Amino acid sequence: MPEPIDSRLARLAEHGRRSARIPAASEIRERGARRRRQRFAAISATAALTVVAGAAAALGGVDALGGQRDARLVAPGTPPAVTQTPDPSPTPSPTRSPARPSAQSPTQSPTTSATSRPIRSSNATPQATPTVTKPAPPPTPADVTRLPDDFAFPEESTQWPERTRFEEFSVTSTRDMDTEWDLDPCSPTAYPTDALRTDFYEATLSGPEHTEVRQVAVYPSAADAHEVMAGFRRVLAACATSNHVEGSQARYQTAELRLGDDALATSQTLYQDFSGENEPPRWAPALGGSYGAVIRVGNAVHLAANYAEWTPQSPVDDRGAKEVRRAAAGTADALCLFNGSCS
Amino acid sequence: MTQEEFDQFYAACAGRLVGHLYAMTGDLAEAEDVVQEAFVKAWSRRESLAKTGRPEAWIRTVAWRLAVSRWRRGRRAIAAYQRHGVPADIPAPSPDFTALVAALRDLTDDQRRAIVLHHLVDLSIAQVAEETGCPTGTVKARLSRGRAALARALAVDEDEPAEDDAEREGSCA
Repeated sequence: MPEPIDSRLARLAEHGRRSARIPAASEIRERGARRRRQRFAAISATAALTVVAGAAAALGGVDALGGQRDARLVAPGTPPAVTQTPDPSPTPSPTRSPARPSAQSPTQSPTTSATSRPIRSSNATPQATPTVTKPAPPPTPADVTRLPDDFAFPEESTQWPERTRFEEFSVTSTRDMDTEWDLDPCSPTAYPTDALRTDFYEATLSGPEHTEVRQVAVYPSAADAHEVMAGFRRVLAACATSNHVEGSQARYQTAELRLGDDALATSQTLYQDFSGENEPPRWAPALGGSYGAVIRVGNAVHLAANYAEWTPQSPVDDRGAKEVRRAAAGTADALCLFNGSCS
Repeated sequence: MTQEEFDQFYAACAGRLVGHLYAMTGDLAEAEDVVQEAFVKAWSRRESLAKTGRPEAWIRTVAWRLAVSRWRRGRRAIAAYQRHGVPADIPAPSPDFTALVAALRDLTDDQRRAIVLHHLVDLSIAQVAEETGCPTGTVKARLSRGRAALARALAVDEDEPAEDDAEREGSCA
Protein backbone atom coordinates (compact mmCIF):
# COMPACT_ATOMS: atom_id res chain seq x y z
CA MET A 1 0.00 0.00 0.00
CA PRO A 2 1.49 3.38 -0.95
CA GLU A 3 2.75 5.56 1.86
CA PRO A 4 0.44 8.52 2.65
CA ILE A 5 1.54 11.93 1.48
CA ASP A 6 1.74 13.25 5.02
CA SER A 7 4.39 10.83 6.12
CA ARG A 8 6.33 11.15 2.88
CA LEU A 9 6.41 14.88 3.31
CA ALA A 10 7.43 14.52 6.93
CA ARG A 11 10.33 12.26 5.98
CA LEU A 12 11.40 14.66 3.25
CA ALA A 13 11.32 17.60 5.64
CA GLU A 14 13.22 15.64 8.25
CA HIS A 15 15.84 14.85 5.65
CA GLY A 16 16.07 18.58 4.94
CA ARG A 17 16.29 19.44 8.61
CA ARG A 18 19.05 16.93 9.26
CA SER A 19 20.99 17.91 6.16
CA ALA A 20 20.63 21.63 6.57
CA ARG A 21 23.68 23.68 7.28
CA ILE A 22 22.57 26.06 9.97
CA PRO A 23 24.94 28.91 10.74
CA ALA A 24 25.43 29.98 14.33
CA ALA A 25 22.81 32.33 15.67
CA SER A 26 25.54 34.87 16.30
CA GLU A 27 26.35 34.95 12.59
CA ILE A 28 22.71 35.54 11.71
CA ARG A 29 22.45 38.29 14.29
CA GLU A 30 25.61 39.91 13.02
CA ARG A 31 24.25 39.99 9.50
CA GLY A 32 20.95 41.33 10.78
CA ALA A 33 22.64 44.02 12.83
CA ARG A 34 24.76 45.03 9.87
CA ARG A 35 21.65 45.23 7.70
CA ARG A 36 20.01 47.37 10.31
CA ARG A 37 22.95 49.76 10.53
CA GLN A 38 23.09 50.06 6.78
CA ARG A 39 19.39 50.75 6.62
CA PHE A 40 19.58 53.55 9.12
CA ALA A 41 22.71 54.97 7.67
CA ALA A 42 20.91 55.12 4.36
CA ILE A 43 17.87 56.66 5.90
CA SER A 44 20.01 59.19 7.67
CA ALA A 45 21.94 60.02 4.57
CA THR A 46 19.12 60.47 2.17
CA ALA A 47 16.15 61.19 4.24
CA ALA A 48 15.30 64.70 3.62
CA LEU A 49 14.09 66.86 6.31
CA THR A 50 10.97 68.41 5.24
CA VAL A 51 10.74 72.03 5.67
CA VAL A 52 7.57 73.83 4.99
CA ALA A 53 6.39 73.80 1.52
CA GLY A 54 4.06 76.19 0.14
CA ALA A 55 3.83 77.83 3.48
CA ALA A 56 1.64 80.29 1.90
CA ALA A 57 -0.84 82.30 3.62
CA ALA A 58 -0.72 83.03 7.18
CA LEU A 59 0.26 79.87 8.80
CA GLY A 60 0.04 79.71 12.48
CA GLY A 61 2.87 78.54 14.59
CA VAL A 62 3.99 76.16 17.17
CA ASP A 63 5.82 77.14 20.27
CA ALA A 64 9.15 75.54 20.67
CA LEU A 65 8.38 73.62 23.77
CA GLY A 66 4.67 73.78 23.91
CA GLY A 67 2.06 72.08 21.95
CA GLN A 68 0.36 73.11 18.81
CA ARG A 69 -0.92 76.64 18.75
CA ASP A 70 -3.01 77.42 15.72
CA ALA A 71 -0.45 75.56 13.71
CA ARG A 72 -1.45 74.22 10.38
CA LEU A 73 0.18 71.25 8.81
CA VAL A 74 1.33 71.89 5.34
CA ALA A 75 1.06 69.18 2.81
CA PRO A 76 3.44 70.40 0.17
CA GLY A 77 2.00 68.16 -2.44
CA THR A 78 -1.00 66.02 -2.70
CA PRO A 79 0.29 62.60 -1.81
CA PRO A 80 -0.26 59.88 -4.30
CA ALA A 81 -2.91 57.35 -3.59
CA VAL A 82 -1.75 55.34 -0.67
CA THR A 83 -3.14 52.15 0.60
CA GLN A 84 -2.11 52.07 4.18
CA THR A 85 -2.79 48.51 4.95
CA PRO A 86 -2.36 47.77 8.60
CA ASP A 87 -1.46 44.30 7.60
CA PRO A 88 -0.63 42.18 10.58
CA SER A 89 0.24 39.27 8.41
CA PRO A 90 3.84 38.46 7.82
CA THR A 91 5.38 40.68 5.25
CA PRO A 92 8.86 40.44 3.91
CA SER A 93 10.93 43.36 4.87
CA PRO A 94 12.15 45.22 1.89
CA THR A 95 15.83 45.69 1.89
CA ARG A 96 16.25 48.28 -0.76
CA SER A 97 18.21 51.14 0.62
CA PRO A 98 18.13 54.56 -0.84
CA ALA A 99 21.51 55.62 -1.98
CA ARG A 100 23.13 58.74 -0.77
CA PRO A 101 23.29 61.26 -3.52
CA SER A 102 26.66 62.15 -4.77
CA ALA A 103 28.37 65.07 -3.21
CA GLN A 104 27.53 68.30 -4.87
CA SER A 105 30.03 70.84 -5.95
CA PRO A 106 29.43 74.36 -7.10
CA THR A 107 30.19 73.27 -10.62
CA GLN A 108 27.55 70.64 -10.72
CA SER A 109 24.33 71.37 -12.38
CA PRO A 110 21.88 71.35 -9.55
CA THR A 111 18.77 69.30 -9.83
CA THR A 112 17.06 71.86 -7.75
CA SER A 113 18.26 75.25 -6.90
CA ALA A 114 17.52 77.08 -3.74
CA THR A 115 17.67 80.33 -5.55
CA SER A 116 15.60 79.43 -8.52
CA ARG A 117 12.35 77.71 -9.06
CA PRO A 118 13.15 74.03 -8.64
CA ILE A 119 12.49 71.39 -11.18
CA ARG A 120 9.74 69.23 -9.93
CA SER A 121 10.34 65.58 -9.42
CA SER A 122 8.20 63.29 -11.47
CA ASN A 123 5.65 62.78 -8.80
CA ALA A 124 5.67 66.15 -7.20
CA THR A 125 2.49 68.07 -7.29
CA PRO A 126 2.53 71.44 -8.99
CA GLN A 127 2.60 74.27 -6.51
CA ALA A 128 1.76 77.88 -6.62
CA THR A 129 4.77 80.10 -6.28
CA PRO A 130 5.75 79.57 -2.68
CA THR A 131 5.40 82.44 -0.35
CA VAL A 132 7.92 82.75 2.41
CA THR A 133 6.34 83.55 5.70
CA LYS A 134 8.73 86.17 6.95
CA PRO A 135 9.81 89.27 5.04
CA ALA A 136 13.41 89.30 4.00
CA PRO A 137 15.73 91.25 6.27
CA PRO A 138 17.87 93.99 4.73
CA PRO A 139 21.11 92.76 3.14
CA THR A 140 23.21 94.41 5.76
CA PRO A 141 26.47 92.62 6.50
CA ALA A 142 26.29 90.79 9.77
CA ASP A 143 28.51 91.71 12.65
CA VAL A 144 29.50 88.14 13.35
CA THR A 145 30.12 85.69 10.53
CA ARG A 146 32.07 82.96 12.27
CA LEU A 147 31.15 80.40 14.84
CA PRO A 148 33.23 80.47 17.99
CA ASP A 149 36.14 78.06 17.73
CA ASP A 150 34.73 76.00 20.56
CA PHE A 151 31.17 76.04 19.34
CA ALA A 152 29.25 72.87 20.13
CA PHE A 153 25.61 71.94 20.17
CA PRO A 154 24.12 71.69 23.65
CA GLU A 155 23.47 67.94 23.39
CA GLU A 156 27.16 67.31 22.74
CA SER A 157 27.81 68.06 26.38
CA THR A 158 24.51 66.88 27.81
CA GLN A 159 22.65 63.86 26.40
CA TRP A 160 25.15 62.49 23.90
CA PRO A 161 28.03 61.60 26.23
CA GLU A 162 25.70 59.38 28.19
CA ARG A 163 24.54 57.62 25.06
CA THR A 164 28.00 57.01 23.74
CA ARG A 165 28.73 54.98 26.83
CA PHE A 166 26.96 52.26 24.88
CA GLU A 167 29.40 51.01 22.32
CA GLU A 168 26.97 51.13 19.41
CA PHE A 169 26.70 54.92 19.58
CA SER A 170 29.33 57.28 18.30
CA VAL A 171 29.65 61.02 17.81
CA THR A 172 31.36 62.62 14.87
CA SER A 173 31.72 66.25 13.91
CA THR A 174 33.05 68.34 11.07
CA ARG A 175 33.59 71.95 10.15
CA ASP A 176 34.00 71.14 6.47
CA MET A 177 32.38 74.04 4.68
CA ASP A 178 31.32 71.80 1.80
CA THR A 179 29.20 69.53 3.95
CA GLU A 180 25.75 69.22 2.47
CA TRP A 181 22.63 70.08 4.35
CA ASP A 182 21.04 66.94 5.64
CA LEU A 183 18.02 67.99 3.73
CA ASP A 184 17.73 66.37 0.36
CA PRO A 185 14.17 66.01 -0.82
CA CYS A 186 14.93 66.09 -4.50
CA SER A 187 17.87 63.73 -4.33
CA PRO A 188 20.12 65.40 -5.19
CA THR A 189 19.24 68.86 -4.02
CA ALA A 190 21.63 71.73 -4.44
CA TYR A 191 21.58 74.97 -2.53
CA PRO A 192 23.66 77.49 -4.45
CA THR A 193 23.19 80.05 -1.72
CA ASP A 194 25.40 77.84 0.39
CA ALA A 195 28.35 78.98 -1.65
CA LEU A 196 28.07 82.07 0.51
CA ARG A 197 28.66 80.19 3.73
CA THR A 198 31.13 81.83 6.03
CA ASP A 199 31.20 79.01 8.55
CA PHE A 200 29.68 75.61 9.17
CA TYR A 201 29.56 72.98 11.86
CA GLU A 202 27.94 69.55 12.00
CA ALA A 203 27.75 66.98 14.78
CA THR A 204 26.15 63.56 14.48
CA LEU A 205 25.21 60.94 17.02
CA SER A 206 25.00 57.59 15.24
CA GLY A 207 23.57 54.38 16.57
CA PRO A 208 22.10 51.29 15.00
CA GLU A 209 18.54 52.38 15.58
CA HIS A 210 18.79 56.10 16.06
CA THR A 211 20.70 58.93 14.47
CA GLU A 212 20.71 62.59 15.41
CA VAL A 213 22.17 65.21 13.12
CA ARG A 214 22.82 68.82 14.07
CA GLN A 215 24.07 71.37 11.56
CA VAL A 216 24.59 75.10 11.62
CA ALA A 217 25.73 77.37 8.81
CA VAL A 218 26.58 81.04 8.98
CA TYR A 219 26.13 83.52 6.14
CA PRO A 220 27.34 87.04 5.40
CA SER A 221 23.98 88.56 6.20
CA ALA A 222 20.60 87.73 7.60
CA ALA A 223 19.21 88.22 4.12
CA ASP A 224 21.40 85.41 2.84
CA ALA A 225 20.27 83.14 5.65
CA HIS A 226 16.71 84.10 4.90
CA GLU A 227 17.24 83.00 1.30
CA VAL A 228 18.51 79.63 2.48
CA MET A 229 15.27 79.15 4.40
CA ALA A 230 13.32 80.16 1.32
CA GLY A 231 15.31 77.63 -0.69
CA PHE A 232 14.40 74.88 1.73
CA ARG A 233 10.76 75.76 1.33
CA ARG A 234 10.96 75.76 -2.43
CA VAL A 235 12.70 72.43 -2.85
CA LEU A 236 10.48 70.72 -0.35
CA ALA A 237 7.41 72.10 -1.98
CA ALA A 238 8.60 70.64 -5.23
CA CYS A 239 9.70 67.28 -3.91
CA ALA A 240 7.29 66.61 -1.09
CA THR A 241 7.03 63.05 -2.27
CA SER A 242 10.35 61.63 -3.25
CA ASN A 243 11.09 58.43 -5.03
CA HIS A 244 14.50 57.62 -3.70
CA VAL A 245 14.77 54.28 -5.40
CA GLU A 246 12.34 51.97 -7.05
CA GLY A 247 9.83 50.79 -4.52
CA SER A 248 10.82 53.29 -1.85
CA GLN A 249 9.34 56.68 -1.27
CA ALA A 250 9.68 59.46 1.28
CA ARG A 251 6.72 61.65 2.15
CA TYR A 252 6.69 64.77 4.24
CA GLN A 253 4.50 66.87 6.42
CA THR A 254 5.51 70.29 7.56
CA ALA A 255 4.46 73.06 9.89
CA GLU A 256 5.65 76.50 10.83
CA LEU A 257 7.35 76.98 14.16
CA ARG A 258 7.61 80.04 16.33
CA LEU A 259 11.29 79.88 17.03
CA GLY A 260 14.06 82.32 16.33
CA ASP A 261 13.52 84.59 13.36
CA ASP A 262 12.04 81.89 11.19
CA ALA A 263 11.54 78.20 11.74
CA LEU A 264 10.00 75.09 10.28
CA ALA A 265 9.11 71.65 11.53
CA THR A 266 8.98 68.56 9.46
CA SER A 267 8.30 64.88 9.58
CA GLN A 268 9.28 62.39 6.97
CA THR A 269 7.75 58.98 6.61
CA LEU A 270 9.18 56.29 4.43
CA TYR A 271 6.84 54.26 2.30
CA GLN A 272 7.51 50.98 0.65
CA ASP A 273 5.80 49.27 -2.24
CA PHE A 274 4.72 45.93 -0.85
CA SER A 275 3.12 44.68 -4.04
CA GLY A 276 4.22 41.48 -5.64
CA GLU A 277 5.29 40.90 -9.17
CA ASN A 278 2.83 42.13 -11.75
CA GLU A 279 0.64 43.68 -9.09
CA PRO A 280 -0.35 47.32 -8.86
CA PRO A 281 1.64 49.35 -6.31
CA ARG A 282 0.61 48.80 -2.72
CA TRP A 283 2.22 51.58 -0.71
CA ALA A 284 2.37 51.31 3.03
CA PRO A 285 4.51 52.94 5.69
CA ALA A 286 7.83 51.25 6.14
CA LEU A 287 9.80 51.21 9.31
CA GLY A 288 11.77 54.42 9.57
CA GLY A 289 11.39 58.12 9.36
CA SER A 290 12.61 61.39 10.68
CA TYR A 291 11.63 64.55 12.48
CA GLY A 292 13.35 67.81 11.86
CA ALA A 293 13.39 71.41 12.86
CA VAL A 294 15.06 74.24 10.97
CA ILE A 295 15.59 77.61 12.57
CA ARG A 296 17.17 80.87 11.50
CA VAL A 297 18.71 83.18 14.04
CA GLY A 298 20.00 86.31 12.37
CA ASN A 299 22.53 85.20 9.78
CA ALA A 300 22.77 81.63 11.05
CA VAL A 301 20.65 78.65 10.05
CA HIS A 302 20.39 75.57 12.22
CA LEU A 303 19.01 72.18 11.28
CA ALA A 304 18.23 69.47 13.83
CA ALA A 305 17.07 66.05 12.70
CA ASN A 306 16.42 62.75 14.40
CA TYR A 307 16.03 59.48 12.54
CA ALA A 308 14.77 56.23 14.01
CA GLU A 309 12.52 53.23 13.56
CA TRP A 310 9.33 55.12 13.90
CA THR A 311 6.49 56.04 11.62
CA PRO A 312 5.92 59.76 11.98
CA GLN A 313 2.33 60.90 12.04
CA SER A 314 2.70 64.57 12.82
CA PRO A 315 5.63 67.00 12.67
CA VAL A 316 4.10 68.84 15.58
CA ASP A 317 2.43 66.51 18.01
CA ASP A 318 4.50 63.34 17.90
CA ARG A 319 6.91 62.78 20.74
CA GLY A 320 9.81 62.66 18.29
CA ALA A 321 8.72 66.00 16.85
CA LYS A 322 8.71 67.59 20.26
CA GLU A 323 12.14 66.20 21.05
CA VAL A 324 13.75 67.62 17.94
CA ARG A 325 11.96 70.93 18.46
CA ARG A 326 13.32 71.09 21.97
CA ALA A 327 16.81 70.39 20.64
CA ALA A 328 16.52 73.17 18.06
CA ALA A 329 15.30 75.59 20.70
CA GLY A 330 18.32 74.78 22.82
CA THR A 331 20.66 75.53 19.96
CA ALA A 332 18.81 78.75 19.17
CA ASP A 333 19.91 80.03 22.54
CA ALA A 334 23.49 79.29 21.58
CA LEU A 335 23.10 81.31 18.39
CA CYS A 336 22.24 84.62 20.04
CA LEU A 337 25.56 86.05 18.95
CA PHE A 338 24.23 86.23 15.41
CA ASN A 339 21.93 89.08 16.33
CA GLY A 340 18.67 87.33 15.81
CA SER A 341 15.72 86.35 17.88
CA CYS A 342 17.22 83.54 19.84
CA SER A 343 14.95 82.87 22.73
CA MET B 1 12.83 40.09 21.24
CA THR B 2 16.06 39.86 23.22
CA GLN B 3 19.24 38.30 21.92
CA GLU B 4 18.70 35.28 24.12
CA GLU B 5 15.12 34.87 22.96
CA PHE B 6 16.20 35.15 19.37
CA ASP B 7 18.93 32.57 19.79
CA GLN B 8 16.50 30.15 21.40
CA PHE B 9 13.94 30.77 18.70
CA TYR B 10 16.57 30.27 16.01
CA ALA B 11 17.88 27.07 17.55
CA ALA B 12 14.40 25.66 17.90
CA CYS B 13 13.03 26.61 14.50
CA ALA B 14 15.76 27.04 11.92
CA GLY B 15 16.18 23.38 11.05
CA ARG B 16 12.47 22.73 11.02
CA LEU B 17 11.86 25.70 8.77
CA VAL B 18 14.53 24.55 6.36
CA GLY B 19 12.64 21.27 6.21
CA HIS B 20 9.41 23.09 5.46
CA LEU B 21 10.99 25.25 2.81
CA TYR B 22 12.74 22.26 1.33
CA ALA B 23 9.39 20.64 0.82
CA MET B 24 7.97 23.85 -0.56
CA THR B 25 10.80 24.51 -2.98
CA GLY B 26 12.31 21.10 -3.63
CA ASP B 27 15.75 22.64 -3.31
CA LEU B 28 17.65 22.19 -0.08
CA ALA B 29 20.32 24.82 -0.74
CA GLU B 30 17.66 27.31 -1.65
CA ALA B 31 15.68 26.41 1.44
CA GLU B 32 18.74 26.96 3.62
CA ASP B 33 19.44 30.29 2.06
CA VAL B 34 15.96 31.76 2.20
CA VAL B 35 15.49 30.64 5.79
CA GLN B 36 18.78 32.25 6.75
CA GLU B 37 17.82 35.41 4.94
CA ALA B 38 14.47 35.45 6.69
CA PHE B 39 16.16 35.13 10.07
CA VAL B 40 18.57 37.92 9.16
CA LYS B 41 15.59 40.10 8.32
CA ALA B 42 13.94 39.04 11.52
CA TRP B 43 16.86 40.17 13.65
CA SER B 44 17.23 43.31 11.58
CA ARG B 45 13.60 44.13 12.29
CA ARG B 46 13.09 42.37 15.56
CA GLU B 47 10.53 44.87 16.82
CA SER B 48 8.26 43.95 13.93
CA LEU B 49 8.84 40.28 14.52
CA ALA B 50 7.87 40.54 18.16
CA LYS B 51 4.65 42.28 17.24
CA THR B 52 3.49 39.50 14.97
CA GLY B 53 2.96 37.09 17.84
CA ARG B 54 3.70 34.26 15.41
CA PRO B 55 7.39 34.55 14.66
CA GLU B 56 7.75 31.12 13.08
CA ALA B 57 4.94 31.86 10.64
CA TRP B 58 6.55 35.22 9.91
CA ILE B 59 9.86 33.56 9.09
CA ARG B 60 8.21 30.88 7.00
CA THR B 61 6.22 33.43 5.02
CA VAL B 62 9.20 35.69 4.43
CA ALA B 63 11.30 32.72 3.38
CA TRP B 64 8.57 31.51 1.05
CA ARG B 65 8.20 34.87 -0.59
CA LEU B 66 11.93 35.06 -1.08
CA ALA B 67 11.89 31.63 -2.61
CA VAL B 68 9.20 32.36 -5.13
CA SER B 69 10.65 35.66 -6.14
CA ARG B 70 12.07 34.95 -9.53
CA TRP B 71 13.78 38.27 -9.50
CA ARG B 72 15.95 37.17 -6.65
CA ARG B 73 16.54 33.68 -7.80
CA GLY B 74 19.77 34.22 -9.66
CA ARG B 75 21.28 36.50 -7.09
CA ARG B 76 20.33 34.22 -4.24
CA ALA B 77 22.06 31.26 -5.81
CA ILE B 78 25.23 33.26 -6.19
CA ALA B 79 24.99 34.54 -2.64
CA ALA B 80 24.44 31.05 -1.29
CA TYR B 81 27.38 29.78 -3.24
CA GLN B 82 29.60 32.54 -1.96
CA ARG B 83 28.58 31.91 1.61
CA HIS B 84 28.72 28.17 1.58
CA GLY B 85 30.98 27.17 -1.24
CA VAL B 86 30.21 24.11 -3.22
CA PRO B 87 27.80 21.90 -1.29
CA ALA B 88 29.72 18.75 -0.60
CA ASP B 89 28.40 16.89 2.35
CA ILE B 90 24.68 16.88 1.86
CA PRO B 91 23.41 13.32 2.04
CA ALA B 92 22.12 12.25 -1.31
CA PRO B 93 18.35 12.02 -1.37
CA SER B 94 16.91 8.60 -1.70
CA PRO B 95 15.06 7.65 -4.89
CA ASP B 96 11.89 7.94 -2.86
CA PHE B 97 12.68 11.57 -2.00
CA THR B 98 13.66 12.26 -5.55
CA ALA B 99 10.29 11.07 -6.77
CA LEU B 100 8.48 13.12 -4.16
CA VAL B 101 10.45 16.25 -4.97
CA ALA B 102 9.78 15.73 -8.67
CA ALA B 103 6.08 15.33 -7.96
CA LEU B 104 6.03 18.44 -5.79
CA ARG B 105 7.74 20.42 -8.49
CA ASP B 106 4.95 19.55 -10.86
CA LEU B 107 2.51 21.40 -8.63
CA THR B 108 2.01 25.11 -8.80
CA ASP B 109 3.82 27.18 -6.18
CA ASP B 110 0.54 27.90 -4.44
CA GLN B 111 -0.56 24.27 -4.42
CA ARG B 112 2.78 23.17 -3.03
CA ARG B 113 2.67 25.77 -0.31
CA ALA B 114 -0.83 24.78 0.72
CA ILE B 115 0.08 21.09 0.74
CA VAL B 116 3.13 21.67 2.91
CA LEU B 117 1.40 23.98 5.34
CA HIS B 118 -1.55 21.65 5.79
CA HIS B 119 0.05 18.22 5.62
CA LEU B 120 3.51 18.92 6.96
CA VAL B 121 3.19 21.94 9.22
CA ASP B 122 -0.18 20.64 10.39
CA LEU B 123 -1.99 23.92 10.00
CA SER B 124 -5.75 23.80 9.72
CA ILE B 125 -7.34 25.05 6.54
CA ALA B 126 -8.31 28.25 8.32
CA GLN B 127 -4.72 28.72 9.47
CA VAL B 128 -3.40 28.06 5.99
CA ALA B 129 -5.86 30.63 4.70
CA GLU B 130 -4.61 33.14 7.23
CA GLU B 131 -0.95 32.54 6.50
CA THR B 132 -1.39 32.66 2.75
CA GLY B 133 -3.92 35.47 2.70
CA CYS B 134 -6.46 33.44 0.77
CA PRO B 135 -10.07 32.47 1.35
CA THR B 136 -10.55 29.02 2.78
CA GLY B 137 -12.29 27.92 -0.40
CA THR B 138 -9.20 28.71 -2.39
CA VAL B 139 -7.04 26.82 0.06
CA LYS B 140 -9.34 23.81 -0.20
CA ALA B 141 -9.12 23.95 -3.95
CA ARG B 142 -5.36 24.10 -3.92
CA LEU B 143 -5.13 21.24 -1.47
CA SER B 144 -7.55 19.16 -3.43
CA ARG B 145 -5.84 19.66 -6.75
CA GLY B 146 -2.39 19.35 -5.27
CA ARG B 147 -3.19 16.11 -3.50
CA ALA B 148 -4.72 14.67 -6.63
CA ALA B 149 -1.66 15.54 -8.67
CA LEU B 150 0.68 14.07 -6.07
CA ALA B 151 -1.41 10.95 -5.85
CA ARG B 152 -1.21 10.43 -9.57
CA ALA B 153 2.52 10.97 -9.58
CA LEU B 154 3.23 8.83 -6.54
CA ALA B 155 0.53 6.23 -6.99
CA VAL B 156 -1.18 7.19 -3.76
CA ASP B 157 -4.91 6.73 -3.43
CA GLU B 158 -6.54 10.11 -3.49
CA ASP B 159 -9.98 11.26 -4.43
CA GLU B 160 -10.33 13.53 -7.41
CA PRO B 161 -10.91 17.17 -6.47
CA ALA B 162 -14.44 18.31 -6.04
CA GLU B 163 -15.63 20.39 -8.95
CA ASP B 164 -16.54 23.41 -6.88
CA ASP B 165 -13.14 23.41 -5.19
CA ALA B 166 -11.34 23.17 -8.46
CA GLU B 167 -13.22 26.13 -9.83
CA ARG B 168 -12.28 28.34 -6.94
CA GLU B 169 -8.56 28.02 -7.09
CA GLY B 170 -6.87 31.24 -8.02
CA SER B 171 -4.18 33.67 -7.13
CA CYS B 172 -4.80 35.62 -3.96
CA ALA B 173 -1.65 36.18 -2.01
